[in-house]
Amino acid sequence: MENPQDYELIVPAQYENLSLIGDFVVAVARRAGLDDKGVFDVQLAADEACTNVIQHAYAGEEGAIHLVCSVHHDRLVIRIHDAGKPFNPLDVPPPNLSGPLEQRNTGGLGLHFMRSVMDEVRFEFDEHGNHLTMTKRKTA
Amino acid sequence: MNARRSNEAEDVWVLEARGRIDANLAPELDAQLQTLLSAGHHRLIVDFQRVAYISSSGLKVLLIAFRAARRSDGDVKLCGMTDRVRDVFTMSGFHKIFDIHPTESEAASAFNRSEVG
Repeated sequence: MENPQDYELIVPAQYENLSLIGDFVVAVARRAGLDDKGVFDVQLAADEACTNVIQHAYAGEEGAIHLVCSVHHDRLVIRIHDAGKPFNPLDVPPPNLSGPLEQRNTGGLGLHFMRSVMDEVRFEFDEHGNHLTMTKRKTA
Repeated sequence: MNARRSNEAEDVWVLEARGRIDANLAPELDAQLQTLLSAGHHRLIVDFQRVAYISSSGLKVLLIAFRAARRSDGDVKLCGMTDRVRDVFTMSGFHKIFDIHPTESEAASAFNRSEVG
């Protein structure tokens, strides 16, 4: 059995901590051996996820964001936990990216990015809050 | 972030964006763009040379500025993007909305051409 190496970060859910979260995820993604594009991709996915947590799950309330990055030999798994309001991705309409300009809706763009750049994105909610799991596989 | 008048096209202002344009910094970019637009500058170039990262929050403020500029017969053109930042525009379809150029000179030339046409 493979033992993944875990890296953890717990930060207050505040916009000014997004760059700190980004630096942390980038450092772990490099250690996981992802290429430059892969490193950027996981930074984007984690940043969009944590932005959603601050904006929607906590919505101005104080709280913590708990990140665990697990480095496996073939993939990086990022788990993000918050104790905010339940988040149901199905409630977010997909962004309208190709219609006439005035009709375009950029809501849901962050979710669209997360699903575009990661190999797997899973949302769960229980009595402890929201649990997001995102996987990025290493390219051969 | 710093704004200056373009040397290469008439009545065009260049905003040198800088840093990590996430939800924390997007309001600063928004404020800079709105200041230029409020001053009557509707022909803008945003230079991304010093931007290593942009999220959907950054794209949203660019789109708001773009719509405002277009309503006044102006434009917001973009230049100097790294491949990674360009990927974010491509994934969102924003590369089809914005006029994106490799360099500031080319973006300025595009303004000059549109004047003739």
